[in-house]
Formats: sequence, structure tokens, C-alpha cells
Amino acid sequence: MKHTRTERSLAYSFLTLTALVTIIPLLIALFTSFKGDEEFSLGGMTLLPSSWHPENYSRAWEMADWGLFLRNSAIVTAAAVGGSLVLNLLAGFTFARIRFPGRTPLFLLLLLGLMIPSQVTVIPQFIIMKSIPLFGGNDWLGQGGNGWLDSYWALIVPELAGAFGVFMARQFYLQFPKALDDASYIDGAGYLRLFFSVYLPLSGPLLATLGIFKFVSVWNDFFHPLIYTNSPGMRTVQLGLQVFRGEHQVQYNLLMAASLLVSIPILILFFIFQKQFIRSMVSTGVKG
Amino acid sequence: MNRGWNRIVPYLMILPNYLIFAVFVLAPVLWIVYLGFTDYTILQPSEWIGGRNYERLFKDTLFHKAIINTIWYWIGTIVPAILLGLVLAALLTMKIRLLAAFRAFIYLPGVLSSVAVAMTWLWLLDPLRGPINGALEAVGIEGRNWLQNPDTSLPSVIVIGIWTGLGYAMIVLLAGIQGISESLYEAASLDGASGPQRFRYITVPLLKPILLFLFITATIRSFQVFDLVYILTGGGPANSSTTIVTQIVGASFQEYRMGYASSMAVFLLGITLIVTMLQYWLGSRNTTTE
Amino acid sequence: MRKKAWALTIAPIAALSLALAGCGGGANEDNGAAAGQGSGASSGEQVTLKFWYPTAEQIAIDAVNAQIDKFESLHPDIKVELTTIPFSEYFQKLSVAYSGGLQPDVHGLGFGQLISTVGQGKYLDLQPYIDKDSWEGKDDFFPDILKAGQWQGGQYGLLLPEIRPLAWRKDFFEEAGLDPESPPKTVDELFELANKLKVVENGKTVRAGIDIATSNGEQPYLSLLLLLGEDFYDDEGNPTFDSDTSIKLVERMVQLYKDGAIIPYNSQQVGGSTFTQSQAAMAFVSTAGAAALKQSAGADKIGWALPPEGAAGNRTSLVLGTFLTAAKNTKHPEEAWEFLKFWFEKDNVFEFATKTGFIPPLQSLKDEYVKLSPENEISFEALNHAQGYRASELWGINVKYLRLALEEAYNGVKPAADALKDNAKLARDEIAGLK
Repeated sequence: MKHTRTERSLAYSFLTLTALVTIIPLLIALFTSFKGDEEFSLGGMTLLPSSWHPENYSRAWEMADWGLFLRNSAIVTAAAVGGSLVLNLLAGFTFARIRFPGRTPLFLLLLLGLMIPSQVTVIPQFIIMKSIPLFGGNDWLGQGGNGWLDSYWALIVPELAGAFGVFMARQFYLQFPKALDDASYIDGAGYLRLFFSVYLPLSGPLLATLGIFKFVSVWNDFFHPLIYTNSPGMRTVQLGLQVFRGEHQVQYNLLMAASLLVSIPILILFFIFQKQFIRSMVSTGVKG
Repeated sequence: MNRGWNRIVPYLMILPNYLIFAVFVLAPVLWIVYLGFTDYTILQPSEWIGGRNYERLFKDTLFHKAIINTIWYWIGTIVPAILLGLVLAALLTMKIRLLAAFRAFIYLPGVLSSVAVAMTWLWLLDPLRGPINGALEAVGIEGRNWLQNPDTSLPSVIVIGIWTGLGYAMIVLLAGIQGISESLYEAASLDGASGPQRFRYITVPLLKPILLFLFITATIRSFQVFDLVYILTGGGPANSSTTIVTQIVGASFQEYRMGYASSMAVFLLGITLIVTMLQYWLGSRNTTTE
Repeated sequence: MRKKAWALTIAPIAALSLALAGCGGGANEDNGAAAGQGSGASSGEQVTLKFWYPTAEQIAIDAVNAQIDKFESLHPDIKVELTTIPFSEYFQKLSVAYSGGLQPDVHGLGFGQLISTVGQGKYLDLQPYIDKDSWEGKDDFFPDILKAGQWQGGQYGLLLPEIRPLAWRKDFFEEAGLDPESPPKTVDELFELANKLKVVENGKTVRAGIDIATSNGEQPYLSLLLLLGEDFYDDEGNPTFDSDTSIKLVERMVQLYKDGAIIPYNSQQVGGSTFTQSQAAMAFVSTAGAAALKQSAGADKIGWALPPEGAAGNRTSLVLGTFLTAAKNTKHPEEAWEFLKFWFEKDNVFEFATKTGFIPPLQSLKDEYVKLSPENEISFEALNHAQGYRASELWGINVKYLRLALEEAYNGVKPAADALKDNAKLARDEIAGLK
């Protein structure tokens, strides 16, 4: 794409301004993580620490069993992201490119799932989790034990069904011209083949975007692990961060240090995803 | 295509997703609808009371305030966030240097959990020690107690809402923009179309499905705003920044009135549904592959 | 064809969902029925008690574990399974567990949480066990503290108290030209000193005379109201915060705010109160609440005294804290009682309380406790005249409207009298609507 000089410099300035504004809270979190304990109780608050305390990071690390929490979060998030990408893309494609009876009502019903906040559905969901038959000591009818509570299942399975993911995938797949499908049908391909050989390769940006969203949302989810797990062995990193929030006082510096530590996996994955898909798109000459 | 085996294939393709959805999302929603007609208090079994909760909802002035606040929040956040997001996403598809760095900086805030974000904003807006008041005072504007004043609490929350919504809008739009074929832009360039013209006549129309998605999901999210409000203002002072979900959580876990809370949730579901349907209908009229 | 498609797709899904929902609901009854048979559990059988405690702080967790270890070594046939949950999410998780029949056997409970749910019959009445064992704790407990966990003749919780006498900053007193060893002795003097202690720069208050939260501020209000001999709702749960005494009190508090003697803040915000952030000269705060301040500013700068006298000579302190309770449907009530009894034995509760900042609620522990730190003497003394929230399931409604009234008054939305009267009326309407 060609752009004039003025267009480019306007673009630069606008982008720089926005980047600054959006990055400031992150910077503050970073600076706060290096402050010493005494800075928080004496009333004055400055941007930069008066003395740098990098040991906050090791202190924060020692205050909880991060190795365990990271492992739990990693397992749950990887499974949830992987599974939901597969299911959501498949379903989204079906809703977008295949006409079948009941398509619209089924899709609209799915959207319904987005419209009630999780704080409300927590009790019925809890009871359902508890009553899954044949798991956690339950019998055929789901009585007597704990079902999926306090296990990875409870944290992974509900995340696979995202209406959000299906919706986004559908809208993404709607963008393509009908001719693309017709070409495949003429060749004798069925729906599945159409998806796997034509649409999936084109889904780079979708996979990257949905992948990041899902990853961040599951990794940062505090509510569901709180309600569904009890034993310390099942804790995720978000529950681990609670260690710094005392009843009377919050240890901001350690909390920020821990929050940033805990966000590192997301950052790493973000950079990997980003480069992977966007670069490959540009090189194939088909933008997206 | 619609012969024999192929008739069932679509249903099989959506089945895994749908089954999990039905069990873990739909069933609870239906249960909540049922609870809205009872006086369930969590610790006691529920008793049917018909439409009494909805009668009460009708008269509940606190809830009405929450509805109005939520609507202000909705309009106040999604319009700027989506407009800005569109502009930013378009800019980021240009071949400029430091592209990756810019993209990263604007994505990054989404990485931090909402609790950490809200806490840093608490400090930013601190009336005595926060830098925002400090900067304002340096240019002669009086800094106020933004979050603890009933006149400015909601607007402050809205500004922070725009900030958090911007990253989301941009990511979604970027994904959509990258689905548009490069050749279209090149053809337009050759015809003499400028950057803004290409944006207006190619990008925006082709982005319609993704824009619709963005509007709908951003609407749903803003109707459900809770974490941000809870940490920043707690809904106050004097309920000036209370939202629908703030009321729902208060009713469930502070007043133990789960039945009433469920009726509020059903109401939320209702208005979200209506607004979503409107947006869907308005937005889908022109897409070709419907 | 369209309509059929709708019906064909929705109906089976709805049916399936409702069926699953129905299945889950049945579990509740089963659990309750089974519990009845379990209580005769014989000794010699391995019993596991599930214990939930509201905290996320390592110090408290360690203290709890220490108690558990000691208990388990004395009772080899009882095992205690601990789950700790952060305080702010505690009740949500606990109530979800109760609703699903998976509640723990023994658990902690916030003050307001216990008194507002005790009427629902979900907690074990400890009175029969107290009587059977002739528990000496009954007499050793401070009467006001023991009473806090009682309801209609039964004992439903034992309180680990957190009491709020008056604390002040001696260094701030000195800076204002006041005698640092002389805290206010009457409520009137308190208001006077608050004005003298404030520090205003460029029209902004940078130091509050007294720490009073202006949002969600029912607790400092109550601290003052108790000194005037009243409460904000009565035993039936009807609001009384629109009484003349209350109105006059709030008018004075609003005036204090207008005069710049209070810095506005939300009591639930994560940063802490103005006093603990060294921005206020006086406060009604517990020793636990000021613990961080002690560390940063130095214990010698903080003075402690009983609250100033109200008109009728009351020096009542607001007491809150954490209750320990057993679930009524526990399968092991005998063992639960053993655990609770153990927890409140002299040495055990002393050790636990000193590590976690609670005040040990046994009168016989006075000498030992005071030895640890001079301000403990005040805390202990305050336990003799302590009041928390009265038991009522309408507590939540009263708090909600009281908070609203206070916020409206502070922020000038309405004059104090109107704010209190209007909101009391709204509260009464809502209460009437429940019946």
C-alpha cells in the first residue's frame, strides 16, 4: 500500500500517543514492583521508586508455590485454548458457510450464553459440576461424590464451549466470497474437506486472535478456579496472587511483581503467535 | 450437497461445541430463569412466588439508577473505543517501521488482569498523590476527587472503560482487516484512491461482519461491567456508579436474595437480547453470504 | 419449515437442560438426609473434618496449620483438611458450597455474615455440647464476646474478636500543639480535636483530623453511634438510623467533612484507610488493622485508649472479627465440637490470636496478653464493653440503606436529616415487601 508522507507522519504520531497512553499503567505496575515496603505507608507516592528493590521479585516468588500454580495454569490454559480453537472454528465455519435447517435459531441460542454474567450462573454451574455422573466418586446418577469439582475437568471443559469463539469465527468466515466454496464443491469436496483444505489455512489471523483472547481469559480467570477448586494442589496462578491481598492491607509492590511474573507466559505466547501468523500471511500474498 | 450423509454432517460439526454449551451454559441459564420466580436465598430451598420479584424490580429505584448508569457506560465506552480502534487498526496495517512494537504496546495492557489494571488506575486517580491531578494542577486545572465524587465517579469509570476497551477493539478489527485481500487495495491505489479513501470505500464495507461482531460483543461486555466498578468505586458514592451486575452481586451475596438477583439477571438478559437483535438485524441486511 | 426447525431444535435442548438441572437439585436433599445418620460416629474410626478458613495471608495460614497439627497430634483419630480462601471472596464460595450440599464441617465466618444468616438454621447449635461438657470457656469468655455468637438461646459461633478502640498519632498531636498523651475523653472533645488536627494546604486537606470513611462508611458511624448509646437497627431488624440522636451525629460528621477534617475514601478500597496510610490523626481501628502502620511509622508514635465517652457515659467499642462455626448438617458434630473447643483453649487461642492479630477472648489471659505489648491492655479492657452487629437477617438491607444515606449526606446530595429519613423509609418499605 502506498501512503503519502503526511499520512505516514500523522500515523506515527497518533500511534505513538496511543501507545504511550495505553502503556502507562503497565509502566506504573512495573515501577511499583520495584518499590520498597516503606514507600506505601508513609503517604507520599511517586512514579519512580526512591530505592530499587529487585529482590521483591524473589520475595514474591517465595511467598507461594508458584511452580505448582504455573503448572496448573499451564495445563488448564493449554487444554482450554487448544480444545476451544478446534471446536469453535469448526462450529463457526459450519454456521457461516453451510445452510442447514435450524441454523439461525441454533446460532442465536448460542449467543444467549454470552448474555448472563458468570456471577449469576455460578450456583447452577457448581451443582452441575458436582453432579457429573461417574466422576469424583459419583454414581450413574451423579450422586454421592464431588463430580468434576476440584479437578482439571471443571476448569477446562466449560471453556471449550465458548459462544464468543463460535461467533467470532463465524463472522470471520462470512467475509469470504461464495465462489471459494463453489470451487471446492465442483471438485467434489465435502464440508469437512472444504474446511480443512481451504478455510483452515486461511484462518491464520483468526487463530492468532482467538488464541490470544482465550489464553488471556483463561489464564487470568480467578472466579472459576476459586469456586470449583478447594485443595491447594489445584490452585492456579490467579489464586496464588491472592496471597498478597491481606484483609487490612495490600502489599502492592509484591503484588505487582507477582502479577508481572505471572503475565510472562502470556507475553511470550503473544510474541510467538504474532510473528507466526502475521508474517506467514504477508508472504503467501493472500492477505488473510 | 444436501444428500444423505451430508445432511447430518453440519449438525455433527457443531455437536461437540453445542453439547458442552447446553450442559454448562444453557442449563444454568434456564435454571436462573426459573429461580427468578422464586425467593431462593442460597441457604434455604426455593419457594415459588410467581412474578413478585419482577414487581419489585419495577419499583426498585436503585435498580433503575443502575440501568441508567449501565446505559451511559455502554454508549460512553463502545463508541469511542470502536472508532479509535478502527483508526488504529487501519494505521497498523500500513507498512511503517516499528510496526510490531506499536502493535505490542497497544495489545499489552490486555495481558494484565483487570484487578491489577484497576489498582494502577486507583493510584493514577488518587486525588492527593496521583499523577493525573498532579499534571492537571501543573496546567492550572483543579484536580478533583474523581472516584469519590458522585458527579465524576461514573465519567471516570467510563474513561477507564474506554481505555480497556480500546485494546480489545483494535485486536478484533486487526484480525478482520487482515482478511481483506491486498490486491483490492492495490487496484484502488492504481486508480488514484488516497489512504483515507481506500479506508472508507474498501476497509469499512468489507469489515462489516467483524464490526458487527465487535459491536455486539462490546455491548454485551459493557452491559456486564462489574470488576472495574467494584474495585474503582464499589458502585458509589451514593450509587452514582452502580451498574446492573453490581446490583446483582449485591443482592446475591450481601442480601442473600438469589431469587431477586436472578430476576435482575433475566432482565439483563432481556435487554441484552433486544439490543443484540437490533444490532444483528441492522448489521446483517447487506452481507452477501447470509 | 422454519417454525418446525425452531421447535425441533429448541425443544430437545431445553428438555435435556432441565433434566440435568433437575438431577443436580436432588442432591441437596440427599446430603441432608444422610447427615442425620452420621452423628453417632464411633471413636476409633478415622474421621476427617473439612475446615475452611478465610485468609490468604501466609502468617495466618501458618498459624492455622500450627493449630491443626497440634489438634491432630492430640486426636489421632481425627484428621483436619484445611482450605484457605481469601477473605473478600470467602462468603461467595462458602454459600455456593452450602447450596450444593458440599459445605465444610467447621468454618470461619465474618461477623456480619454469621449474624445475618444464623436465622436460616444452617449452623450447629453448640449450646447442648457446651452444657454437656460444662465447658469452662463459658465463664472465661468475655460475656459481650460470647453473646455476639448467640441467637435465640443457642450458641452458633465462637468469636475471634477484632476490637476497635481509639488510636491516635502522637507525632501528629505534637505537630498540632496538643499533648500527645492526651486523647479526647468525650465525643464532643473528639470532634473538637479533629478540627484542630487537620492540616489543609491550598484548600486541600492533606491530613485528616480523624479517619472516617465516606463511602461504605457504616463502621466508623457505628463506632460513634454506640458511644451515644444507640444502634442502627433494632432486634427485629427495623432501621433506627433515622432517630434524632443519629441525625444529629451525622450532621456533625458531615460538618466535619465540610470543614476539611475528613479525607473522603471508600472503606472497601484496596489501599487501606487514611489512618493506616498516615493521612489521619485519629481513628477507630483495631490493633490488627494498624499493624502495618506500627511497622512503618513505629509503635511508639501510636497511642491507644478506650473510645471517648458518649453522653450517657458509654465507652462501648465496636467489635468485629471472625467467628468459628460448625455446619448443622455435618456428619461429625462431636468431632467438630472437639475442634472448636480445642481452638479456644487458653494456650491455643492465645498463640493463635497473638500471631494473627485477634484479641484472645478469655478473661484469664489478661496478664499474659498485656505483657506482650502495652496497647494490648486497652484492647483487653475494651472487650468488657463491646458490641458488634445484632443478629438479624435484615442486616444486609439496613447496611445498604445506611450506607446510601451516609453517602448522600456527605456528598451534599441531601441534608443529613432527609438522607437518613428517606433511606430509613426505603428500608422499611423493602422489609415490608419481603413479608
